[in-house]
Amino acid sequence: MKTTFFMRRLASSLVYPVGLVYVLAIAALFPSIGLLSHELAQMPFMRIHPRYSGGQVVETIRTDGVEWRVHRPVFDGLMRERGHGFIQIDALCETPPPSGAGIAPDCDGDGRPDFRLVLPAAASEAPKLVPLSPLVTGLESWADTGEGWIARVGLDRK
Amino acid sequence: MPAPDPIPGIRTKDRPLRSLLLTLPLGLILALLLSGGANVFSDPARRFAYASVWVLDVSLFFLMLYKGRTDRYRAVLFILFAAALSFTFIVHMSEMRGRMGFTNSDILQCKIPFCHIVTTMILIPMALSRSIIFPGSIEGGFANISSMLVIVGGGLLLLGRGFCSWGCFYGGWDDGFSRLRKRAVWKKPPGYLRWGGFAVLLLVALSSAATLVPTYCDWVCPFKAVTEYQAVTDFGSLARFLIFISLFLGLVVVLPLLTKKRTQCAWFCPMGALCSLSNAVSLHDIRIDTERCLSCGKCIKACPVGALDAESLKSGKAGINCTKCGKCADVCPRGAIGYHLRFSAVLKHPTTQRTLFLYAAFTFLAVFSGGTLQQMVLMLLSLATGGGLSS
Repeated sequence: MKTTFFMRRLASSLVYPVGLVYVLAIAALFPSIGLLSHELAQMPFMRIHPRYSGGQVVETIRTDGVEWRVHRPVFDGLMRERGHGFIQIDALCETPPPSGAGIAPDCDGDGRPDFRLVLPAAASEAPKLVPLSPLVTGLESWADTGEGWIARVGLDRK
Repeated sequence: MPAPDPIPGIRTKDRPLRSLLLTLPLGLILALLLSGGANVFSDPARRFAYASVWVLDVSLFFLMLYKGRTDRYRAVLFILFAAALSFTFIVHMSEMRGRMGFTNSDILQCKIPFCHIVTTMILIPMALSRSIIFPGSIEGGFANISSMLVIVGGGLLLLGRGFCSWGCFYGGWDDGFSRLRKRAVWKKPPGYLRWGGFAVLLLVALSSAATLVPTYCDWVCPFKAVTEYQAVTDFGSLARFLIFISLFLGLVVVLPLLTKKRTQCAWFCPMGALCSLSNAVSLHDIRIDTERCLSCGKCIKACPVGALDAESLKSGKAGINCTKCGKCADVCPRGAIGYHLRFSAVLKHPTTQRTLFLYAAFTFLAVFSGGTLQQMVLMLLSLATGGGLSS
């Protein structure tokens, strides 16, 4: 009984300094945003899902005045891989690109190219996709980035 | 029976000198923090923007203390923040991209600004797949994910759902519209609607985890109408655009006008529901002195989010969805409602408890809104002097 009373009195009197600490914490929060957000960014869960980032770049090829960045095929789901995914190809070049510049990556590691992607002549046009494997489902999305193109080619898992 | 004296410091006027002395430390804090680390004295326009925002903030805080009213002065800054954010954001985005809408290119390059409402949709995927389902930037760039998470985390930890009335840069929109009419047309909205935000939170958290798409942002966020949305290029993007506009008009303009409540925040916002959960561990809350309370119901009528009902008056506690705006304390004729520090006696040192909350909450609002307000002043100055709109 006495202990409970004492604890209540203690909590009741400590809460005011704690309130003051809250004020100081808020005043310190904004100047420390740079430092805190940098620390937070290092956490293992602070990465963009491959569905949005396109996945890691696994190969960089320079040919015909174009730098091609081939990302790993992305099938990532919430907890396990999905049956359908995509592979992202970035092309960095000056526009207009060299006529007929293209790439033919091997997505499934069987030693044969799965599709051929050819850059268009104008920025407003979509890259041309030539499927060479039944796993390739089509050009899912593309964008002109001002420094080249990003294209995502739909893939089914083997 | 004579009415008891109102509790000093809750709503009666304070002494001007005392209010001034209590305002001074905040004035110093804001003088340091409003610059945001930039050299605000580099040119006259920046100096003017900095000084005008500082004067506005300090005056509002002084009036809060001197007049003993909270919500009236809080709302001025809160509503200005929402309007200024939309204004400066649209100008900034239009400058960066040449249009208000974002395109597939922005999505594929992960250049979409992050806002606090997205937090509700990324938590489950973050826990299960250790990644964030949003096409934004983790660090660096405009409105990056880490900075926003630090601000939201800090706000929730220190203010609980007070974040919704003292930190959210959208809330000022429906707060503003809810004040335009003198009387409500729809006087008694069903009480169960206050749980709407929790239902939306559950739906968007689960649907986002299942589809790996931030569903609320993609389809039903009313504030897309006053910030940015996917550029209309096909039927799908047109449908979304129409949904955003309709929801903004319905939930943020028409319903607040009819009910005098913050309907979007109270009934539909998943972030509001998430913030409500943080109220359970928040240091500050709103308490009612049940002995002084006459159960006149003025506070119930005034509460913009439906956090008070007859049961609250009996128990002496505001509901979990209380945003700590202080409107109930402002309208109470007996000074029976006030800010309270957890573990302390109810309304024992009301002025101290209120001042401690106001220091924390107002500093958050003033510093968070400071950069945006200064930017708006600079843009308006530039427009007035024939320089056009530019950030």
